[in-house]
Amino acid sequence: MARQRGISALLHSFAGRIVLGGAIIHIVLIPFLFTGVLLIVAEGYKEQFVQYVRHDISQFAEHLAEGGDAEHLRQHLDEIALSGRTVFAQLIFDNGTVISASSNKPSAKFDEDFYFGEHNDGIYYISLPVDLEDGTTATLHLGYDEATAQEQIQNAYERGTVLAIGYILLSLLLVAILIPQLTRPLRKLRDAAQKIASGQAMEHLHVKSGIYEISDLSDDLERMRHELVTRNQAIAAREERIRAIMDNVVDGIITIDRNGIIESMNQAALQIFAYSSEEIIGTNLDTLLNQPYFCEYEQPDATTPTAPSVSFIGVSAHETVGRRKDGHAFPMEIAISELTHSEGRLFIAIVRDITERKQAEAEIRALQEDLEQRVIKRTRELAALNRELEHQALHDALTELPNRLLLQDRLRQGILVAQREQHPLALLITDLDRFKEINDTLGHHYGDLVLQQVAARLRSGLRESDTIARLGGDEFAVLLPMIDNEQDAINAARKLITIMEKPIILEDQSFHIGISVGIALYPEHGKDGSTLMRHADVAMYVAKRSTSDYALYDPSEDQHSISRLAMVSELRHAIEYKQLVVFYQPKIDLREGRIVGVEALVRWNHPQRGLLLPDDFIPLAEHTGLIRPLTFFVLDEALHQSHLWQKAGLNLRIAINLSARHLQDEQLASKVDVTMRQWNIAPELVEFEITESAIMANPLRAMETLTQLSAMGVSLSIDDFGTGYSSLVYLKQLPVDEIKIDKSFVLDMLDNNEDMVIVRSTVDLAHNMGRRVVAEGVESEQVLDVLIKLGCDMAQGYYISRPVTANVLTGWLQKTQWHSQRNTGAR
Amino acid sequence: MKHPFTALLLMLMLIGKISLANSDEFRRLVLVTDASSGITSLSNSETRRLFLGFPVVKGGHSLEAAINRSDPFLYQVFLQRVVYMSSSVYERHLLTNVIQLGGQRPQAYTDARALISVLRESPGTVSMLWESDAKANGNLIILGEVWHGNVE
Repeated sequence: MARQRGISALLHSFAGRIVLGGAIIHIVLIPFLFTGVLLIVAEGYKEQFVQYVRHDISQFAEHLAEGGDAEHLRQHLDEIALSGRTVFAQLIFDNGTVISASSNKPSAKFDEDFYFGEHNDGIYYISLPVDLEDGTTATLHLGYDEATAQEQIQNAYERGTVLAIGYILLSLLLVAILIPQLTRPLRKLRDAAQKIASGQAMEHLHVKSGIYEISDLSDDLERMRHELVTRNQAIAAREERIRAIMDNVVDGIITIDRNGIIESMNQAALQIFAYSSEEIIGTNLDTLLNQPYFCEYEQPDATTPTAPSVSFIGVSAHETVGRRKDGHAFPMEIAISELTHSEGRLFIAIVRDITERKQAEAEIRALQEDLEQRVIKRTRELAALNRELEHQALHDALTELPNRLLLQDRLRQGILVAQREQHPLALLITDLDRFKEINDTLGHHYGDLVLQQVAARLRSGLRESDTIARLGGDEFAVLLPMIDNEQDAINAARKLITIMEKPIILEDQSFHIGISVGIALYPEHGKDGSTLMRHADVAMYVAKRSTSDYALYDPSEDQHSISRLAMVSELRHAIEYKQLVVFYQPKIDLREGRIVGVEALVRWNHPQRGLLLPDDFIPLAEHTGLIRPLTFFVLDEALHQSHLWQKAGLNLRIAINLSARHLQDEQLASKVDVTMRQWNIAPELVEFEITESAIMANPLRAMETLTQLSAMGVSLSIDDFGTGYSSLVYLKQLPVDEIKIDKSFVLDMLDNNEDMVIVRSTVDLAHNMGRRVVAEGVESEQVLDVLIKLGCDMAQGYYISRPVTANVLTGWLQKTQWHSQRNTGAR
Repeated sequence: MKHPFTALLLMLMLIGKISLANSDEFRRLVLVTDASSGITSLSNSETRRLFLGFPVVKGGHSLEAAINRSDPFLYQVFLQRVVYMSSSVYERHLLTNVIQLGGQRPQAYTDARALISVLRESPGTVSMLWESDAKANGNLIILGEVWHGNVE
């Protein structure tokens, strides 16, 4: 606000306003006050005048009542008129006689007043009835001059006015004297406030004053100053902090005014563009943008406030090309946001050098392309692999024929078609005869080759619409979906049998392998795949037992299949619950004529079928894999019995039979070792008997297992020698101690010269190779004598003893002519 | 004329003045009491004593004064013709009479109808009324004239 001078300045000052206010108050109120007082005083004068007049006339009336003649009354009236204030006196009798004072003016006219100045004639006229002593009545009229009272009232008014004016002037004078006392601290406060406003706020503000309002104002200003200082310090600290943050952020931050002029840049921005702050502040933003992108920056219109770059403004970042001080262009990301504040509009640009990112993106793109190529390649490989896996999942790896899974699927499809087209369907299941011998004798390698040739041969005998699958082992299945009747299936089976009648040649060796075919027909023998499979399997077992090589499913034969399955379950149960019994058959030393060992032979004490011999269940055990736990059961039982015999003083070597499957078992040696340790049996008292065919099934593996057993110290014996395809080369290398001549040669050796030759040759061969010879099947004394003569080392047979239980054998040993080998060494 | 409104106001005041001047009415102020009071007259002295608060017995009845203050002019006539005092001196006198002498202050009435009711209901009460008012109430009797003259 512009300062005024003179009276105007005075009127706009605090003192001037106080003086003016006081003057207005006094000018308005003082006349009102004094006028009121003067009116009261005037009323008092008038009241006093009226009281005087009324009292005076009553006194005169009393004097006049004394009466007298007319002259006397006129003199009396003259005396009243001479009393001072009375200017008119008159006595009017009821009869009309009038007596007036001599000084009465003839012009005077009586007009009775009841108020001071009522008739504005300057005289207060008053009347009073007078009862004279002579009985007459009259009325006294008096007139009193009102001038004296009027003068008194006028005088009061004049003095009152003078006093009022004097009062006002004196008041103004006093105000003028006292105002500086009031305004001095205010001026101090104003000076202090001006200092604070000019930034000199560090000096404490304290103005002494006896006026509460001013001292409070001083305190408030001091608090305000302190608060201002504190806030300024906080703002300065915050600004410093913001500055530090700005200078330490990774991104460049540039503030631009509405004309595109750069107002500030943080350290990151300066480093990005390689400018110093002095060089770049005040220049236009286009200095920092490369020429090809210069068009993106639009010069602001001078008339309207515009953004520095309309195309850049927004929340999201925009990629462009920046330009450094040296003119070098680089990829840059910029985001400009608009800020409206109290001083106008401001634009904040956040910039980032994205050179490295761009390079990385290029590398990533290259890697992505490479990855995509590799993914495509890998996808193709995986697809091929999937196809291969799918093929493997549905086909047999050895024969390349469909496996059981694919067969089941095709069987399901075939049944649906047959059902829809109302024609029969046949399922054939075949099993190779004598394949087990080939597999066990020549090994799995030959077995596999046989299977491949069988598969090819069977395939060749079928139509394209037929399916032949390998179910596992030597089992094949043939699906004939397009037949007209039962005879078609039989013809197909015969054809397959005929095909297989020709021998299979493997490495110059000829093998005759026949097949057994079971036939099940849809819908006659089953309306679903599993039923047909089961029934064809039953028929195949029937074919195996019969003279014919094929069989059509007959429900009456199904019972056999069920009993076979039940027997497997019972055998498993028998092994688990120790229903198997180990019998022992002694072996004698022919030179010393004493018992040197026993052969452990298993029997099955079947709850319904009685005691079963090995031929009744061992093939089943071998076929189902139960031979392994069965043999371990026998091993444990035999060594336990050996332990008991040892405790009883008998040292008998126990021989236990091993199947071909055991020779493939890598855990056999360790299992034997654990069991011997468990029963504290010396290895010399343990012997294992292995058939020729079992060894020849996989000679290398058998050699390894037998070597491990031999190294443990146990004895090894070749059982049923002469019945297989033993190779003397292998026999020479095997770590066997003993050879057992098959009983088929021994039984008839006295009647059959060839058998005698075989026995003699075997004895000689074994002795020449340094092996012991044991003859099985000795059932007569004559045979025993011949064997002694031939030099056979040991014998075993019914002549000596049948296989018996341990308890029976123990009793038998005590009373037999053959002495057993005892711990003491006595015979 | 520069100030027609002022001229109009002055004209109205003049007319009013003339009208008021022409409305002078002759009136008579009389001393009254109820007819049942049995009082027929009061002397000037008895009247003055009665209204100054002194006891007055007339015809065996103790009289009581009732001051009519319903009309300021009537009251001034009363003060000037009956008690010969100004208003303030009369008030002071009544107060002094009550405090120093144990007298009873006459009751004052600012409502004429209330005063007339008191006169009717309290025989022995004496007051001042314009004659027209007194005659308008048949039960009141006029004991004497105090003043007569024109009243604006």
